[in-house]
Amino acid sequence: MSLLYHMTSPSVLSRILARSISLRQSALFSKNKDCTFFTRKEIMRLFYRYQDLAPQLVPLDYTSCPDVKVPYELIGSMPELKDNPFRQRIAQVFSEDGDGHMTLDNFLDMFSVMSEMAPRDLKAYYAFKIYDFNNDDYICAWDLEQTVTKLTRGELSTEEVSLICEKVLDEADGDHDGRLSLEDFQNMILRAPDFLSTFHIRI
Amino acid sequence: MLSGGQVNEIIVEVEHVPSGIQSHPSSSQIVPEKTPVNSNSILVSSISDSDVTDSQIFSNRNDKKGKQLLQFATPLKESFALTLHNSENTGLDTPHTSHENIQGQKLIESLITMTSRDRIKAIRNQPRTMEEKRNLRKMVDKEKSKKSRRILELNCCAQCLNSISLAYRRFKNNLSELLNSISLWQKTLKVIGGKFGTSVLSYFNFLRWLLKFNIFSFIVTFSFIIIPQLTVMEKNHLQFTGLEFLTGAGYFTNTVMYYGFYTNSTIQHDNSGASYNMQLAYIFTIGGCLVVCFFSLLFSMARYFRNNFINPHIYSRGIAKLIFCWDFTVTHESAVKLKQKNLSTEIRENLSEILQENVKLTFNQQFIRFSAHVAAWVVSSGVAITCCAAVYYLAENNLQFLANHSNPGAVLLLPFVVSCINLVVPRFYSMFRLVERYEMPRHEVYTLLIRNIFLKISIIGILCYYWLNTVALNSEECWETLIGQEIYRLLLMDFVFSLADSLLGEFLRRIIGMRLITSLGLQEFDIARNVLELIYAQTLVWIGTFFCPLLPFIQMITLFIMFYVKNISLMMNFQPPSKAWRASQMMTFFIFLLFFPSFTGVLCTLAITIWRLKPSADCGPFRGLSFFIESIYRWINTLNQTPSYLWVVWIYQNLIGSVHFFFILTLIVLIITYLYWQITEGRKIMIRLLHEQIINEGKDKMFLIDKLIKLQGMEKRANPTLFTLERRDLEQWGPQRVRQHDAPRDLRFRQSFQEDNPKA
Repeated sequence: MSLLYHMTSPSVLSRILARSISLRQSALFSKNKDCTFFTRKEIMRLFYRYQDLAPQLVPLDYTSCPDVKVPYELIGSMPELKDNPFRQRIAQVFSEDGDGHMTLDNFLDMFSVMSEMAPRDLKAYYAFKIYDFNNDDYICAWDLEQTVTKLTRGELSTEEVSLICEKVLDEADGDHDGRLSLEDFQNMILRAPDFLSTFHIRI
Repeated sequence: MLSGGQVNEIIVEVEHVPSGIQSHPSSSQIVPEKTPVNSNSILVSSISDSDVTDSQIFSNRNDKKGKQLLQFATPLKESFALTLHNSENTGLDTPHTSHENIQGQKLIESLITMTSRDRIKAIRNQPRTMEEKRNLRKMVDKEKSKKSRRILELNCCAQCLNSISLAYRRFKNNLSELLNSISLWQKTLKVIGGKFGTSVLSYFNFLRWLLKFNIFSFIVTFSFIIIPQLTVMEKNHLQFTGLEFLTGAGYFTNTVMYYGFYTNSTIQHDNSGASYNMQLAYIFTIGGCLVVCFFSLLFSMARYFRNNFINPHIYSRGIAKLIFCWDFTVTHESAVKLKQKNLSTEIRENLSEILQENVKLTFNQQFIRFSAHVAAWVVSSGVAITCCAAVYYLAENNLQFLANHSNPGAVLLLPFVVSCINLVVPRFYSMFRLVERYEMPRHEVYTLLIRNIFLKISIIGILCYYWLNTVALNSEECWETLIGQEIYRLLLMDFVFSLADSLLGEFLRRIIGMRLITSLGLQEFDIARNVLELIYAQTLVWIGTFFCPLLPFIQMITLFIMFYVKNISLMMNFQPPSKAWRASQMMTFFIFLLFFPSFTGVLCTLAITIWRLKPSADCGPFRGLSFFIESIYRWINTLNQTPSYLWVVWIYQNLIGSVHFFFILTLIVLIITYLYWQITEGRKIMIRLLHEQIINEGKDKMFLIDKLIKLQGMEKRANPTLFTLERRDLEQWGPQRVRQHDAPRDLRFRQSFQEDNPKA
């Protein structure tokens, strides 16, 4: 027994431990399976990724405390997200209280929507929420300015930024009320077939 | 201004904003049409209801794909009208939760009526958090079990079907899990996408997709043709020298690689009674492969068309797309920084283009542009035709040339010339960019693609013509094997050239760009040219499978190696693309190119072979017949003898062989196409009208808001104290009356939001 312990590294041992708990967890994952676009195996893999973010916080036996939240700083340091200009908004949109701290459910939800199997409407809905910085259910000029600034990292001057926002509103605002509603946004996404493949985070 | 009808509609809408007591008789009819606008106003009214209302908006979406969503969207619309009409809203001090309860109730009821597959899909597509989805599913299951308990006995048939469908679903789940686990190159693709973005990733995805075709063809031909042949293999008396790998001739001529090796007999082992007709197996296997490829291509093409087809008359400049279609797959820090810089550059260019849009070209400039286009087209077509003529001339004189030069490597001259043409001429076409100017950059890409595909398909066409007209008719030996060998050599030479180009050429270009002429910089991955090379190779493979059944296996190995070589070269020698490349549109076009000139050309060639040409007399499975297709005729004749297979004969004679059947079928298809075309035209008109209606409603909304603000301003000035008193009264009134007066308060909220907006 001790020989075994010395032979196996702690992470491998924890994996072995995890497999024994996994029977209970697999019930949990089966429950989640139909709510996301992932298979059961992928959900397990995502759980291990989540657990790796904060091993002290998240126990291997998730069923014992399912409400634990991983703070935003750790989520934002994931390799898939750490260089994304919108990582804070993504975490805020998918977290429970809008503060960026995510439970496992939020985590799975986020990657499920950002996976390639989510339909266009679902992605458009969440993209709209991400670009809506002030959470008023409309993308107004201020939201657009924030988006453009994040996208171009201060390369453009303020006049250019406001000109861009004006042009975008010209193009996309269908009912001419000075801001984009969800319908305008979805209408515009219909004309951008690349959206499905670009609004996609591979994990 | 506003017409009478419009005024009525709008007044109803304003009052309809969540007022519990509705007395307008017309409102219930207006609710279904007005729901999209309705949901907008609901958004404004109850920000706390954001979860519920968002899902309403989402469920009211006119989803083309999600008929299931529409199914439960209509009960939702009705349910919303119901809740509004329902004055017995209990516990309206928490209107949010009761609203939600009733919404949820209606949603659950609509979900129960769906099949379980649709239900799972509908729940998954809901924009709710995981917990809500789980609760929803639990409630649906509970309701469903309650209902099913009431049903005393299920029909035996229904039970059977239920268990079958359950088993099938489980099987499909397990299969999809298995397929996902053996998905090839997942991590590599992630790295490529992270550094170079979706556009370059599309090339590698295309490569992987073609690999799947080849794997499937190989498995089928291996199981049904090669293995039976291997069991009755004759001894190979030829000598093996190393040159066979290049020429394909020599030792390989008498192996399973080529058509000529296959027996035409019926294989029977130990008189066990089970016999295997090689002729039929050969023709049916190749035919089956092609049919599966055909349907797979068709479905992929249809799916891409459906997702990515843009209605051309609503094409916009695209600055909104630049802003909102940020590539989330890019994950490397340097790549992200570069992408941001490129995006800024592109936005600036786009802005300057928009600002200069109104500048019209003078007649002189237009004439110069037009003549440049014409000249470019003439030159490119001329070059293509010259190359084809050169290839034909070379092919015609090949036999003589081979007789004069006894070097066994001399057969490689023709493939060498073809590969050189394929290497040099596309790059020459790319140089036209310096002379021609296009209004839209995508026109440039399309023109380049069309010129290249014209060149490549012409070369393949000329070679096929040569093979089928000259080699097949004049040759004394096994002409099928000869053609197989030619195709093998072409493929191999193409592969060698691609390897050399990736390993040496791109490396040299990087050295030149970084050290010698630093202004050039690193090169960008030319997706179009690389994809066309893949299409060219795949066309050759499809043609060649009939003459050389091992060709899919060879192409499999080639693609495998090419993936890694291109990957390494990409990481070392390239920089991420600077311009936005419309990956999905291009993919649609590439798959269409794979289908239209490429696959249909293959089908034509093989059809001519099978129906018109005489198989060689002393080699291959069809020796001795006067046409390849005669094997099928003979088989049908033998089936005619046996009484138990007469239905096959009937199908053959009346459905496949009958002209009337195809005539009627064509007529039906044409009628359906015409009907769909008319429906599409009607829908285009509808879209335009609805678009105009949206604009008009927006204008009306602004007009009314202005009017309301003015009225409120006047009211405020007239009675300042009464104004505050009214608000306090509102809060004291009963919940039902609150709804009536919610409307003005909400519009006031909207007005205050408008005021805040310019500040923000």
